[in-house]
Amino acid sequence: MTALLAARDLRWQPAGAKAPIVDGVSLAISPGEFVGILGGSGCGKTSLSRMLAGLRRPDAGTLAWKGAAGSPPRGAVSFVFQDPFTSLNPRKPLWWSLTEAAALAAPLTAAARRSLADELLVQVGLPPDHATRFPHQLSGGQRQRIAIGRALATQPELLILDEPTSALDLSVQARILNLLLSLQASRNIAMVMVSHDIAVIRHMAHRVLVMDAGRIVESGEPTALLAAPRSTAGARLVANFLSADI
Amino acid sequence: MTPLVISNLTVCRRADGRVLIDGLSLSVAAGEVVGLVGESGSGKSLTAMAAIGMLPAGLQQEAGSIMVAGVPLGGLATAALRQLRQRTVSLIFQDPMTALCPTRRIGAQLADVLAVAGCPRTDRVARAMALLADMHLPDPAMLLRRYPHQLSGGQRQRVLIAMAFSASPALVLADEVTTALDVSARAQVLRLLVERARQMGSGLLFITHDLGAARHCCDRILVMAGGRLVENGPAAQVFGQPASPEARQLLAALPERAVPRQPLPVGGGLQ
Repeated sequence: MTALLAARDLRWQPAGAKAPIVDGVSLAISPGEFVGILGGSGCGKTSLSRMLAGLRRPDAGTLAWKGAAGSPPRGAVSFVFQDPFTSLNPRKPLWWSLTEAAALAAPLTAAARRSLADELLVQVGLPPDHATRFPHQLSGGQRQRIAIGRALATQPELLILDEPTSALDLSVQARILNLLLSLQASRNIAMVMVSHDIAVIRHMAHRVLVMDAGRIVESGEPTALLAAPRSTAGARLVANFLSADI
Repeated sequence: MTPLVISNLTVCRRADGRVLIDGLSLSVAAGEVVGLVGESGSGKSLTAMAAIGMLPAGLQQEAGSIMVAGVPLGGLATAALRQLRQRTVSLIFQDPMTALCPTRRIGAQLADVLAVAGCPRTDRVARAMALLADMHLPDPAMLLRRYPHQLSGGQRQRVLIAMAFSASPALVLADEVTTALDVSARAQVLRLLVERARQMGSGLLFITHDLGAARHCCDRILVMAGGRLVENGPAAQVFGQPASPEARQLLAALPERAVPRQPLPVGGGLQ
């Protein structure tokens, strides 16, 4: 099967850094696949996810979208940031934030934007009357739903999520994870989730990649890999993870 | 003297009389590590604020009593309350970046805390270096000259823990201190926090929504829901056989207990 997005030998070293942040990473993401990226602070996982989303240009390496060399077309890949509060414009009502990306991709009338916002709110499980509210009027979980709704506005085939639930309570996290599972089931969207939470990645991912010092050091099916990690970085992550399970 | 005893505490909102903490009773013994867990809005942080006499404006204590190291907070004069906060009880916040002053060096901020704790001026540098060394921070002399933004999140949180224990407090309240940290920094900060509390015989009330952290470091777990205490027992009992439906609901949302890629059970409440 042709990969939805394939990355080959991506490298990035910011000016002044002693070592590359991303150091020769190659990977392929299939349609509808859920890929988890695990790693400690500074391992390069967030930088890699930004390159996959086209938010950061690599120093070297290539991307291919559905087999064709080059970056994904506009709107095909969306990004959900860690902090739902700082990623939404505090001075704009939610309908505006939800439809901003769609309005940039193609001109939309105000009525069309409102109607699209209502549709997106329903998709992420919020009532349409939230369209006129502002970010500060929502809970953390509701704001993250808005961030996911905004990411869906361009009908992406790949959603990249950077620690989307790390700022949330357990039950709110559970609702967001359930929403992502239902979106995958109904729309077959591929997802890449960056996290340091082993339990979340094991629950959600078809495949997990472990990163350390800018490289992918291990990959595989999450339950098997996390039960017996082969890499030092994988073993360190598992050893430091404080599970609440008895 | 028991570091913290809260009896039948009820806190209401003045504007509409809504009860936010409802008849809460708990205690933390010397050297004991007690985890206070629950969802957002369950009243965990409000309990901590009440325990240091710092209820937010608009809220009032309707009933109950709070004793910190044998001193009843009710009716305490402002000066006495300030002294209690300086010498007897410490609070460690979630975000070390906003808890530290960004424009002052770590050494100056530690010296302030030591001055309040009664440490003579000539001893402060040596004492500050010893506190940082206790937190396993490398090169304490260099660290004293650094600004908060030059430290990692885990290092900043360890500086705050050093400050919190500088006056040998009877009670330490740690409010979501590991939420902003990654897995390895979190494990290290937790280990140091608990180690320090046990060494100094301080009671530690560890407030968190991170059930994994609570399970690993606490002697006893308290679960709050809707402003009430719904569970109180050793970690093995609370996590293994929770008695209340609220605690069972909370634990059911743990991804590590679920079948991979199957919907997690969720109850009502916040979205």
